[in-house]
Amino acid sequence: MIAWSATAATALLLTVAIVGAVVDGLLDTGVSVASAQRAARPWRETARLLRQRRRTTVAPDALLWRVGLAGPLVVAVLMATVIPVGGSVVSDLPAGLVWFNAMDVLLWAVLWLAGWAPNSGYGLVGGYRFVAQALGYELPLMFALTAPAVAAGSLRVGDVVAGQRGLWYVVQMPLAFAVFLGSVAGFSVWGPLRYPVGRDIAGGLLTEPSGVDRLVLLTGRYALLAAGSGMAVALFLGGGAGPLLPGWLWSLVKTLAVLTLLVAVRRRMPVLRADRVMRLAWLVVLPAVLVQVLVVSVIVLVRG
Amino acid sequence: MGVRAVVQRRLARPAARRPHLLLAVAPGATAARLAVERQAVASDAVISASPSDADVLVVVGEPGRELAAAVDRVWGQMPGPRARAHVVHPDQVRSALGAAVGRLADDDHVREAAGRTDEWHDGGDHGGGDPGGGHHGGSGMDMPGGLMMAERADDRDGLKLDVLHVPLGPVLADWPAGLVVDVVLQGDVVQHAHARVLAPARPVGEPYWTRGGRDERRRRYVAARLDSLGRLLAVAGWEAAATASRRLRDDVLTGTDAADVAPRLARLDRRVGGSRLLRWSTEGLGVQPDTGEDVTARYRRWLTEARGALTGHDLVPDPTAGRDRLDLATRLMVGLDLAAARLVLASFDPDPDALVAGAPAPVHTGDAR
Repeated sequence: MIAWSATAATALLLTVAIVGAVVDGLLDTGVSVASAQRAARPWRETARLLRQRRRTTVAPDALLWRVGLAGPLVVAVLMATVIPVGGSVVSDLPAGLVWFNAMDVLLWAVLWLAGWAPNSGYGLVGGYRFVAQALGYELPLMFALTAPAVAAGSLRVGDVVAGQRGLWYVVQMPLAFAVFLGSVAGFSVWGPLRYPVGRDIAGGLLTEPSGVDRLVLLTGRYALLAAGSGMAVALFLGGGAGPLLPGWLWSLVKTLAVLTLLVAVRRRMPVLRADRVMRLAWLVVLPAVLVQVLVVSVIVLVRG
Repeated sequence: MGVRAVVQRRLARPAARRPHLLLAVAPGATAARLAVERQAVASDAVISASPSDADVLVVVGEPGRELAAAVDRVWGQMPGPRARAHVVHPDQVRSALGAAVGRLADDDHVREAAGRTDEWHDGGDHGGGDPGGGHHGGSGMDMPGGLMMAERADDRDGLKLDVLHVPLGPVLADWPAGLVVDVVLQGDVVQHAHARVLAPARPVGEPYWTRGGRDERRRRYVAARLDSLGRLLAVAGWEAAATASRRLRDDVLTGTDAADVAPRLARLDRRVGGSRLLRWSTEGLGVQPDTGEDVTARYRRWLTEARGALTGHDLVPDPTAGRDRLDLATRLMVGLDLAAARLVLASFDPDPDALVAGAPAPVHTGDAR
């Protein structure tokens, strides 16, 4: 039973990730290329990466490099196990929120390895950049996860969804929602937080991998975005709640909406360097999200 | 094997619809480079940031000996199937790129890729455009991959960190043609920088941006600033704005009416010049000791100059032209992290065409510690 639902969840995650890649092509409106061409980009990229030879570097740590390349995709799948789609979920762990957070922390190791293992200067700088950036978004992310948990009085994602029957948490805690989305961009190395894969360092984490290695890493990024979007829906947007349509469809529609929002910011903002992220995260975002948790706690107390 | 070959052939067509190009540009080939960039956008190709991501190596202009050697090393680092194109004149771009992309689908090229052993394993040359980690030393100890461990030294924060010798360029995305900045890194902080421009095979005449009659020069003056701005925005990671700036550059060069260009330039000025996020990430970087200009002030000046030139004002000559500019840029890179250092260099945007004009020998400059 679990095996079946895990397979289904993985397939769904990959489907949403692919939709994300298509949307990314469609939203690249700055160039005068037909939208059908742009929508076909993910398929063409996949074809060329499948044809391409894998590349090795001088004295890489091959095993750890593989771990780093496959890691994001694996982490995204593990995240997806606690995300409810309508009423169904692979495993509604009693501490599902902690599980999600633990998986995201795994990325620290995984993406560092992706940068360090190929034994390349630019890759290494990409690894440094990710760790520096993670130091900025991780604590705000933890407190952004805390807010819905406090409101629902449970760490179980199912309980958090049930707690929003009257009012979606995004209304009660908009700031935590925003911080959560920012952190999803952070751990997916996306948008203004794609500093670790910056073009200024020849792609950073992406400097060396080619062929299927690169395909797996890029897919992992989209899968992380998809998993993050799904979790945002469960924690802040009422999960599968909605009129007329079945719960699973609502979950999916909302997830795609959040994903589109995340994909849309990719080209539209300059990249934030880690020192700026750090300043923003520790001086502004962290205090703000703490206040958010306080507000939520007071609401819970007042309601009894 | 049979199945594999069939699958390979099936994938070839869609793969060739979105080729990734790696540009290796020699000084003096700005016109051809602009044509390649235009063609890339028109055919929905990607200009890739590293050899591992590239299918077609586009050599633009006529590289001299050292640049040609670097191009060959980069060629060796491309995973394949790979093809090579050489473009000297802008008119050749369409056919040369078309032919190279066509060759990618060839079975021969696929076989070549499959049959290759990696550059490292066959004892070939390596390094150059792609930094290979450690520092070559000579103690004769057996180290992983035959490389020495990196040396260590105190850094600016008093930490003992590995010292990496990394050449930036000459084949690097959004980077001046033929420029090499040899940097010494600790972590990602530039400790030392030395810049040189690799000479082209043939002497370069009047630089592209300052060539032409009165009207043509005015157009090129505007386009040069938009070209620099596009490069800076790409380095800053703001893709949409970089694309807009380059598109406007191309329209200015192809003689689009000033009445049509002016409002678009004004819009770009508002969007980029007025961006608080961009300003926040560039403010206080690379402050020029004499004028007090930082990165932000420099890109805003480009926008102002471009708008002024479009409305018929006098063309303001650049206050820091030529070799001094590269010198200064390299000096200001020291002590910054790579991202900031690249922003500083991009904000000066030295024009290699002007640097090598009339100089037969390689230009060495900007030794700073």
